[in-house]
Amino acid sequence: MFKQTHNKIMRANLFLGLVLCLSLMACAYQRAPVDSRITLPNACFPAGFEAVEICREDSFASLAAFYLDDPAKGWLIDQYNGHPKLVPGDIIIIPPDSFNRAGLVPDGFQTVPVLAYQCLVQKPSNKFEVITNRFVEQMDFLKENNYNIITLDQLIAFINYKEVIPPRAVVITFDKGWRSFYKIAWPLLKKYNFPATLFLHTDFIGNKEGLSWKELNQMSKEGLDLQCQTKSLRNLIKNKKGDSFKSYFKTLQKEVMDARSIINIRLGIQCKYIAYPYGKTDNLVVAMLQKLGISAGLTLERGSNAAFSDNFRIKRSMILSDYNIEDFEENLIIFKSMALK
Amino acid sequence: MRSAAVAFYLCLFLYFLTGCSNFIILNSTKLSTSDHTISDTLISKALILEKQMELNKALLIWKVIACRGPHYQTDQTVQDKIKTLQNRIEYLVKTHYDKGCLYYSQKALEDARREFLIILRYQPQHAGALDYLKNRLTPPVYINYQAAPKDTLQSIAKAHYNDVKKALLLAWLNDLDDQVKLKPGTLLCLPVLPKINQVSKKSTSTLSQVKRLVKKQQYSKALAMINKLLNKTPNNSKFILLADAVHIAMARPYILDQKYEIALSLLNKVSPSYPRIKQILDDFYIKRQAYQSKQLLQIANSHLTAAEYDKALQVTNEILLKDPENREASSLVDAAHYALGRKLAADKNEYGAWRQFKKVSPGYKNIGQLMQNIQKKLNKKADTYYKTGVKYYLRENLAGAIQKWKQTLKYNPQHPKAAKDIARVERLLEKLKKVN
Repeated sequence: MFKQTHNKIMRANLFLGLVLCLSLMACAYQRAPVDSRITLPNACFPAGFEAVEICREDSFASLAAFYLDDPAKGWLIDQYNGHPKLVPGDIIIIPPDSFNRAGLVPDGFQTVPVLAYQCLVQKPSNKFEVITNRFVEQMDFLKENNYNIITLDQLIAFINYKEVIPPRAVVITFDKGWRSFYKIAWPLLKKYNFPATLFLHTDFIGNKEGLSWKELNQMSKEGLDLQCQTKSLRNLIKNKKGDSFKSYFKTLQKEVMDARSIINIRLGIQCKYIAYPYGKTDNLVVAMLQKLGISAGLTLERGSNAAFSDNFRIKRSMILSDYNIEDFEENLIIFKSMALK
Repeated sequence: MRSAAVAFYLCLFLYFLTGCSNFIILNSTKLSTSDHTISDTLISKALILEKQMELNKALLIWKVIACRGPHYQTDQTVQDKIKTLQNRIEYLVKTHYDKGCLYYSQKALEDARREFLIILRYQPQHAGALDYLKNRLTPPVYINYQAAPKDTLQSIAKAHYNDVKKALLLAWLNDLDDQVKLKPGTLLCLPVLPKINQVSKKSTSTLSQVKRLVKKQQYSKALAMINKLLNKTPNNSKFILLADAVHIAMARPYILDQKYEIALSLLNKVSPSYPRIKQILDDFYIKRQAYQSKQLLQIANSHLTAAEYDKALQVTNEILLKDPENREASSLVDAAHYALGRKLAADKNEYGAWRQFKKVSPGYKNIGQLMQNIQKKLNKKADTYYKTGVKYYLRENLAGAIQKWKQTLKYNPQHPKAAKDIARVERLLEKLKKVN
């Protein structure tokens, strides 16, 4: 009798177990993820655009890595969609990386400031020498305020309407080739992971206060962009008194061609851009540079650069020794208001 | 006792199954609800973007909405929205391009640049706008020059720079030898360099004579004299200013007479440096726009009176495209849709009438009442289609059932069952396909 009852209980328990298993299986089947991502048909969209449904694990960087082949372009998706919060199930538009190359929005357009430094020192003796601590303060300011330091190549591509650049973009440049660049500026720039361009005044290189070719070679290998600032740093638009046009013009050619060939021989670099000595240029200089194959020239006119700026009159703001952080910020104009609607 | 236990466990099993099936149903309902929520969010996002004049982004969102489901693809409102936005973008691009070219021809370069930048917002690869922005709006470094017979590099340098020595510059830039004779027709690049401008001084008596003529409103005579002076000294700012003032004075009576094209041809001759020219032109365009809208409104009104609703709508839309704030045109649009809707309702075309009434502003006449009546009729029709669909379904004519339910949704997009049933049957059809 006891055995019979025991068997019944066992059978009942088995049955109950079976029911539970079946139910759990059914539920588990329903809970399995159906599809990791839904991409809407994009036949009717403009070329390069895609609309996708957000998954739980998505971030702007992962979406950019998947759709734009570059995780660093996450800002492009973020910006296009109006800085949304990524909620699984929401639809997000992936723009092509060619979208909005001029950085245009209904109330204005993007501009890029180019900062120019001469040299960094502990005790300044003139207004072009910036104290190291001030430079550190300025770099901290750029980092803390989410400025994106871009290369000069990126800026030129932006001006040529070929590449979209991140918002709050800034370019850092140094002039001449002072030795302090190797000792102070370059280690700091590397620490901040900021790209920079150094324009070389070739007659100055190898001098007591100037950088050596060996140092330049090392920094170039470490990622420093090296360009040319002529051979002797003479004012290109000023003809010396008594000089004929012929001799003036020959000197101009020599200033650029010699500087370029020296840099090419010593460092194996073909310079594409020039920083005009004292920032001065005119149509004669520009015509000559274009003929020589230079593709952009930087002045020392204060201001920022838009996508439609002139390649040969790129504005650059010299940072002076007595600038406090407010003065520095005044040179960081990253947007120009204009009703574009 | 044993049978009671079996019955209890069986009930328990059935309860679990019910729970599971409920879970499935709940899940699918949730999905479709969230689907609708997403589309609603997208619609409101598109409308906000449109308000912010982010028209391309708004258009893309509407296209996303259209791609989200079969009933959105066929929803006329969504398709209409897409078409309207496309037309609006096209119209804006054309208008701003024309404006930009006009400003450029008037040497108002900043204004021209603004217009071309607006175009790039709507059409980033617009070749014309890009050409103006990159090549024409910045002062040229070079000009092209075709060598004439007897031209030498020296004579060209003399003519362009007042400096024969710049022949060597021309030779270097154009890969030529400065001693070699130039072939007529050779195309040369001449850098734009400053040239000493020798402005000859003209007698002030001629100028005062011109001023007297202007005072007497003898504009044609005055203009002829100024032009003679300008031919000899093209850069004389006093003569240019006087010529500008004469052109503006000549344009005024034409503006009063509403002969805007003649007035514009005169205003176009005014140099961009003339003080307040931008404001004068802006006032002119506002007046011309108002006049054109008024004329078009008259035409639209006559179409409306003649019951030519489509034509009336076409004309009013044209006005609204140029002047979206025009209230008279908006109320004419309402009147046309209202009248057309009533006509269709009288012809027992309830769906057509409903579509027209939907386009009428909510507070217009008794539109609310009319919409309710029509909606009731449409719901009845939708129910009939739904039931026919169910009949097809029971006869295993799945394609026919889907078709009927789609018609249900056409008449009542909020129908509680049709969308779900379509989705269910489509899944069934897919499974059948896989089995086959």
